[in-house]
Amino acid sequence: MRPAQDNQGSFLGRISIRRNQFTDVNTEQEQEDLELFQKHIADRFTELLSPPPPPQPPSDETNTAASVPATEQIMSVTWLRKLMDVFLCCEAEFKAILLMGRDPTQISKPPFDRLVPEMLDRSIKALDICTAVVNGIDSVRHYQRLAEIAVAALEQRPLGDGNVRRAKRALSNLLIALSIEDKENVSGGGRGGGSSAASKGGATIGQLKSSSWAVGRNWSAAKQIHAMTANLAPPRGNEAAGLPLPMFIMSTVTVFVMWVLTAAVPCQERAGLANHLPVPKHLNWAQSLVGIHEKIGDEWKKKEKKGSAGLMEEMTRMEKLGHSLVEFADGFHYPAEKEAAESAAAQVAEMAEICRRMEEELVPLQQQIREVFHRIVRSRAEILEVLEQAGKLSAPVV
Amino acid sequence: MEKPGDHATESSETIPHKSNDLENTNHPDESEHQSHNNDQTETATTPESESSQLSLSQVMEAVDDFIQSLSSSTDPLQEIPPAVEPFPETVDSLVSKMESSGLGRDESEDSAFIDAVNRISISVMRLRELNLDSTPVSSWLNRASSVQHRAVSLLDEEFRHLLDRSIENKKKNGDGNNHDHESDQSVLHENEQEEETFPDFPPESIATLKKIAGAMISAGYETECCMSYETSRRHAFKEELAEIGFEGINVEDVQRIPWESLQGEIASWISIVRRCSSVFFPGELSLCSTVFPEQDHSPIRKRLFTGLVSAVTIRFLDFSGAVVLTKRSSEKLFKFLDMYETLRDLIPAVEESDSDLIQEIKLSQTRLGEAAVTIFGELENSIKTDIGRTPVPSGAVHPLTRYTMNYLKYACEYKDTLDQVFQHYEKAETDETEPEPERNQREDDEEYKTSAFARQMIRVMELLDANLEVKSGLYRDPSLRSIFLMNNGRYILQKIKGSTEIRDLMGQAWTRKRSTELRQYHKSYQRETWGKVLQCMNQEGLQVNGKISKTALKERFKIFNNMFDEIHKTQSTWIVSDEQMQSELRVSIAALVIPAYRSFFGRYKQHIDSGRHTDKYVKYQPEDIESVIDDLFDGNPASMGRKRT
Repeated sequence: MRPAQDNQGSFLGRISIRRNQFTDVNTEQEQEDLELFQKHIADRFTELLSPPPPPQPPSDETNTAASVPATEQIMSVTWLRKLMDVFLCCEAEFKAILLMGRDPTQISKPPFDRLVPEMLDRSIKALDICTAVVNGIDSVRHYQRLAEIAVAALEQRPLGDGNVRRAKRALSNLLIALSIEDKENVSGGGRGGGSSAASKGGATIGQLKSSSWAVGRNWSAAKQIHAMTANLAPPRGNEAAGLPLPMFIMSTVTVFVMWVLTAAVPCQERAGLANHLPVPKHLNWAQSLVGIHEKIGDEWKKKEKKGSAGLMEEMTRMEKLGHSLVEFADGFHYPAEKEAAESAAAQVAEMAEICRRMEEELVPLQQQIREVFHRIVRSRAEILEVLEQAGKLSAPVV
Repeated sequence: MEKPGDHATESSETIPHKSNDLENTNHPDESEHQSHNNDQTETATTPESESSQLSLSQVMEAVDDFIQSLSSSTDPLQEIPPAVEPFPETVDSLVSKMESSGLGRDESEDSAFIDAVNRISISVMRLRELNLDSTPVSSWLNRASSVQHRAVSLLDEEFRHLLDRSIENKKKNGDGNNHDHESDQSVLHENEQEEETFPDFPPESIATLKKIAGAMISAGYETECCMSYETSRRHAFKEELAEIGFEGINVEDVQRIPWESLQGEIASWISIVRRCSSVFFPGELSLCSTVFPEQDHSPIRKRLFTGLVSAVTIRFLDFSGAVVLTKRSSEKLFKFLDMYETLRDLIPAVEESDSDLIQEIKLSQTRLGEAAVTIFGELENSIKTDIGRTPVPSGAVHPLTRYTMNYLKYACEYKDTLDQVFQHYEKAETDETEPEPERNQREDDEEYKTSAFARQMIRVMELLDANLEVKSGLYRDPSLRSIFLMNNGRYILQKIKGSTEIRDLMGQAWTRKRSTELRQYHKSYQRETWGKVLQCMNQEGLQVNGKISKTALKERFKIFNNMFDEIHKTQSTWIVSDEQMQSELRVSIAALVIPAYRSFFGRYKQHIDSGRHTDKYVKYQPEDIESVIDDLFDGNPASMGRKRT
């Protein structure tokens, strides 16, 4: 900062030399960079859409139903973690394209004087979504504990009435939590949670809700995502070949990733999000992203009608298992029938496996989202710094 | 099997229970249960409960022996001893009783109940471990585990009620001092000092909570217990935050609201974070340790405390992160530094937990620090870019000087923090900075070596000096230039002397240097303004051929009068606002001019005295000189009734 101030003349000189270099490099090098960036985006999302087969044949586990191992499935917690990695990679690459070796004044001139602030505004919105999602994962951890209680109780041998009742209590709470309607699913304490289901037994949902945090009053994930896409349009004409394109791509990726996160876990106010996400269908780099979007969107629309806390694959399976285990509990008479007990035991084992995976991966996922949060903050600061520098350079020199 | 037999004879009183089947045992209990409900008088229930407790204690003894035998006996257990057989039903009736009365009313009853539940739990656990293949035993185990579940569910409910009760109490009591939190920081500070018990539980509740937690954990219901505890405490915390006015404000809102409102949010943030460091977090830790006191509860304690601390702390960090993202401006520096300090003081409290947020706290601090550095850099910028073309009239203290010095004075109240911030920043920037030429030159100065902030201060001072130097060039009159530099220099020096922080920071050598500079301005003013005046009172050139030339003398007096009048006219409009310096200036001028004039006057006045129009040439008596000098630097052109030209 100081050298720039102390000898502005020579600094300006340096810049103008570099600017000349740019014009030479611009056409070829930058085009190459942009194409590479698009290719990387496409590759990364293709891998997310259909992960390569695991290097080793799957061992004899209880879980061999799906051709793709459950851990790799779209919306599984492992997959979400991969998605976060993909985001971080894309973001790093994008920032390099946007800032590295670039003349600061370039991104302060039209159309960037409009595009950059819009992008920064989107990044602010993304930050709040990150926070909401981190809160949402807290709720998922709560579901996990309820499931763990059920597992622990149903693993008891001999299985008695007490164990089954204990499991049922936990499972009922779990199912209520998993199926609350989106609208109800506000983490804020404002709403009277006097639902009848929450009246007895266990840490009730009403209590859980009142103890979790909100991103602020009247904050709505749906509104935020909506606002993020409002002015997001693919660049046209001359702009389509230059820097506006990666900016558009990165913004699309950001919105998409945020959309997936809000779909995956309980999130403050997300009504209507299942339908709303304009993704550019005809662009090469976006093919797989669109594919993922459609898959999740379809699933979401199905679930939205009956209410769902989130589309995370583990939660969906947890819900299914929960229902059939409650059924088992309802029909339970001591001593347990052998057949029913055996099928329940398999389900319990699956539930235990889900819990184990959640235990392993939810906290790291939370940390990754925090990392995304910090990364967005950092990038924003760097971009602002460059803009400021540009402002000083373009200001009349005294 | 020896022992069960022994017991059958010993605890003959339990035989009626034993012989009854499940339904029968429930009946007397239910009636007792009802009498308990209908009749509030103690006398009616006492004999009954005493008798039941007597038998209960004997059943419990039998259960104890049974539990003992389970771990010592080598023969597989075929059936449950008769004395123990009805124990599940006994406990079941206790649960019914407790369901209607609730825990925490009678300590001995509570203990008896908890003891019974614990025995059920241990029996269930041991029997499960033995994994027996006997139908009667399994059936007993099933009954026992059912009762256990019912009992523990009740305990869970009671546990939550007790925990939540403190929130309700808090609500009732808290209303009174609610508004205090919203007022300014100093009030909050005072609030902090006052004794605050948090969390606010009566000792009997704590004792009950402890018992329940122990019973739930040994029943294997640790998860439920922790969940209830966690949910309730989080809820309590949220209430606490809301009460102080800190309700999750999101990043976007923070960017949007005006600084004035944000300042209010920051004040509540600071207040609540401080209270967390000093009261809430330590309070939570001690509550946790009290409710889960056992040695082997240690991981539970850690986990619960860590979970709560993390959940709350992350809120705080989100807010500070959002604030740092706002547009930077100089007035924010001090709030940012307050926040920086608040986070720094939070670290020890968070370190009591296993929270992984310490790094994040430090990161947030770094961000605030960077923002502070940037803002401080803005000060440098605003000094550099202050390039007005009009000089301040009368050579007075320039607004930039005032602004900078007052800003620095406030900044120095944070000097330790700023020092940390700059040190941190310098470390981060080491690669980028070029070798600083001043370094060697200043190595003798202790302060300079130790304080990164002092270096910044000196930089700002140097910038200010350079800027003032340029500004002084706007004055065409070199005397006024000196006065301007004196005024500003004096202002700076006084500010520095007036604040221990700055004085210590800048060091004595620096202050001495400033004083020397001031003296030099003073001298150059004297030379510029008064040199010529003194020169005209010189004897040289007055004598022509050994005789005083009247014409020359008259001319000299005229020149003196003109010069003196001119000085009077202009310099009484000049301003020296520092009284001491003003008087020093006048005194020094007087000391210079009066004796010279007195001697000039005394020596040559007689030569003109004889002629007419004496006062045309001798306008000033030596006594007048002083009063004219006293008019100087008043910034008051009207003092002599002269018009400015």
